[in-house]
Amino acid sequence: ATKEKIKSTVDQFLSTVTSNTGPKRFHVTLRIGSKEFGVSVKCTPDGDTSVLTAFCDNEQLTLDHWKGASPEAFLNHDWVGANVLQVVPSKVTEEQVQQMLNQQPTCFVSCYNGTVFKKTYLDARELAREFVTVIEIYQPQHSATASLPGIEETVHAAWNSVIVGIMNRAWDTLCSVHVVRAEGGPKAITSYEKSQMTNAIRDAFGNCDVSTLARRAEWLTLHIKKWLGVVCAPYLQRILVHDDAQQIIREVSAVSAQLNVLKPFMDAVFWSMDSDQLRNASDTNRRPFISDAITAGARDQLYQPCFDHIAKAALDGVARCRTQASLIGSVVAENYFTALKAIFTNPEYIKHIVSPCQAAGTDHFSINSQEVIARVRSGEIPPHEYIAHVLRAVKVERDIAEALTYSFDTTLGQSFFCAYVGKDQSDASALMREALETETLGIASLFTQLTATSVDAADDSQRSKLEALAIHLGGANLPVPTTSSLPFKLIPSGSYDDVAKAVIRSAVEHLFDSVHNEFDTAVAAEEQKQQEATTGQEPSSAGSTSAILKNYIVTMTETQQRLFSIVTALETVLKVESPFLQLLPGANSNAVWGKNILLAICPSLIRGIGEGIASSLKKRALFTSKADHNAVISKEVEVCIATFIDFGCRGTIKDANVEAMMADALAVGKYVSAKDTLQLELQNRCAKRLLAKPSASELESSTINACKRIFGQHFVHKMEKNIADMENRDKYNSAFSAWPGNQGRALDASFLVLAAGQWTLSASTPWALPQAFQLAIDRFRMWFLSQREYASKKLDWIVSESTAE
Amino acid sequence: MYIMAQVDAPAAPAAPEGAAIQVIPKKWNCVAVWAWNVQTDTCAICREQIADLCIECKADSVQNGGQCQVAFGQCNHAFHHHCISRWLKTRQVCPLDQQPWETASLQNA
Repeated sequence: ATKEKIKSTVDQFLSTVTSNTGPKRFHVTLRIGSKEFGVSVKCTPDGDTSVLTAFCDNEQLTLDHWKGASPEAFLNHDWVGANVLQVVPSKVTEEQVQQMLNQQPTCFVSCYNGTVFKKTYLDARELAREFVTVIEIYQPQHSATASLPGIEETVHAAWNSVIVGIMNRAWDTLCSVHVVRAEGGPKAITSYEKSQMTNAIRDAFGNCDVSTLARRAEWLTLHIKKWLGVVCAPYLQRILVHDDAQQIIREVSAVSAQLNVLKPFMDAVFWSMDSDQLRNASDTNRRPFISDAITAGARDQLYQPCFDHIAKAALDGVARCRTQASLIGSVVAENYFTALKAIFTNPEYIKHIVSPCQAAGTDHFSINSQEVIARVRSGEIPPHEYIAHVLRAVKVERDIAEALTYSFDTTLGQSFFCAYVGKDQSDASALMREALETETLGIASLFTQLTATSVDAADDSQRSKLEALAIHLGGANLPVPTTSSLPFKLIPSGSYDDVAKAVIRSAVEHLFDSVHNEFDTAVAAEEQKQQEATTGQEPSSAGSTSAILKNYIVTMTETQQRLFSIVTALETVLKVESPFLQLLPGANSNAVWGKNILLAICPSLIRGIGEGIASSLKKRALFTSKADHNAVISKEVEVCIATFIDFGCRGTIKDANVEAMMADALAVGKYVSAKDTLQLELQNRCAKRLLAKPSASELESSTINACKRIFGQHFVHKMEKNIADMENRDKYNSAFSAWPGNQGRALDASFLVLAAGQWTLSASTPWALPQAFQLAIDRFRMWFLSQREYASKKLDWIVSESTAE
Repeated sequence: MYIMAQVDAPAAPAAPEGAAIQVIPKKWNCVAVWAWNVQTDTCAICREQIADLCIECKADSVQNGGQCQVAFGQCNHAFHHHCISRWLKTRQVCPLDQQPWETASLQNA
């Protein structure tokens, strides 16, 4: 009944179109499910209708297709299973449409004006007959809805029995096409083969839920990968015997081209099946793509073994290049690099080639450096030989990478560089860290030699040391220029900074520890002297304590200054044309020199020195916290600095540059960890000095200003208040003297009014003062509180601090 | 300080040996400390001393230039001017007695 209905519907449609539209040409599209089938129809005035051309899924079908195909092949485009067919010609009247709809179900047909027609045609009535034939062959319940014995078994069985056969046939076809490649590309697989594949896939994937579909697709992917393994095996056997990289690349490209043809074909087949459920699967990101499966399979089964083979050969090529005198020239001439150039267009290939290099590349330094490391450990050669070795090797690799970059490809250059120096930049960083840390003692030695005298870039001997330091510190940061304007740096700036700081800090700690040890030795000797003086064996020399302290502080400040003067001298050396510019081959050497060396070394050096001093003083604080606090001189750096400042302000230290020395001492104080202790010590000593000698000296002011510069306003707030209190003394006394209530006084009293809380003083217990004293106090208090600006204040007397003449 | 003096007494001749020494002070240098005449010398808001910088100025003493005034209320409670200003943005009362705040005076510390 359905068959008859369809036939009558199509007939009716064609007659309706003819009768209503007259001599016109129509393009008729039939949609069933996701498939579109179209015919171009020519309607003549006498009622004859001719199909001019036909297509399926926008794929033009020629007359030959119609004639040459079997009934199954003719309509394998999912006409099968269509159970609702309606006729909706747009050029018929509404009544006619309604009438046709009432006859349902027949065929879904849309109709619109066609503009382009081919000269080929097919009789429309033949078309209608084909519809019926299809329905007869394929009953809707025939295939996909058949009960499946089990999901996995179904897929495997379907694959083994049908799909493998079909794919093998497709592959053989592709291969034969490839071998006898005709103009215009490989010949398409026949429609019959397509239909077989479609049906097989439908059996495996039809009528299942989304998760099942995804699972089956995954299995299909695995099957395709295995299948590719079998397919590619003979090719690999043929390819991997070659030593010529260019030949290998050609062979791989040929197989790859065949696979590439297979990919869209397989996708087209896969998506030609009933796709309602596949459409549902699109939201789950589990939509199967056969082309992806082929890509992955080709990568595993074909590219990877071939590229491993090429990479090994390339490693041999690199090894050969390393031994050549003309490094860059040998890289450019190397057969393997030349061959690799052919596949540079695909970054994916480069990755596959570089990956195998990494294992060998990481061994390059560790294995090759074993001998050097062993010699360093045995003391045969000094430690800096190791870093020199690493830097030389890195320079060779950098040159190779640079040659690759300029001659072939930027990505390849960088990738090879990373591959040989380490897996990535962090490995390179770790490598250089190890090298630089091994060189710590060498750098410390350079620091010691440089800080022994004032550092001067004009001095030839010091200049060579500065250059050695620059090579040690900056060699790790030499960049590999790329074709772009941005340089590629070996070690990322942050990481380089860490490495440099760690090394420099260690060296600086070593220097300052020596200063502390000398001081401890001097203090111990002084204690011994004092013990001997106590027992009467030998008199203790006066002023030796302050001399020891002065020597300690001055040594520290000078060491600090010399360390920072290295930075200045190094800048001077680096800014001029330097012989180690030769480390940077390339046109933009000066630019990268400035950017990567000047801007990297000196800031890192400054930070490293600062951290080294701070670290050393912190260690010192830990040591002194456990030391004997009854020593003749406190070993705490904070107390030592405050005591030194106190000696300076009191005039105990006789030196023309005492003011500068004190400022330098305070500069060292910037690195102490217990700044509050330093502040308290300075405040207490300042207060005691001011009370003992009311007129503040210029040294006090300059010291406070130095403190303010180094530590900030808050640090000197109390000391400034103290100075201000002392300066207000005359103001108070002159105002009080002019006060009428102070006339006829019996005692010449002057008053020093201090701000509570700013001095380490507290109100004393009440004293029974003589009448004249008490009278003076009372009068001053009366005057003070009568002043408007002091009305909110109160006065307490510290008689214990008062003096009389 | 031990004083055995009668200030109003005329200068005496040298005392015989063994007698107490009579000292006549001619000048006295007396030391006093002033503090704000308030119930407590600590700012109840920032817990720093009234005579010292407030916690805001301590944290940013360069910007404030060390100038940190003391605000006295009619209730005779004192706070750092910065502290009470910040407090008054939320409530217009004295933090200590909850009475409406009215500034009596501002003094430089």
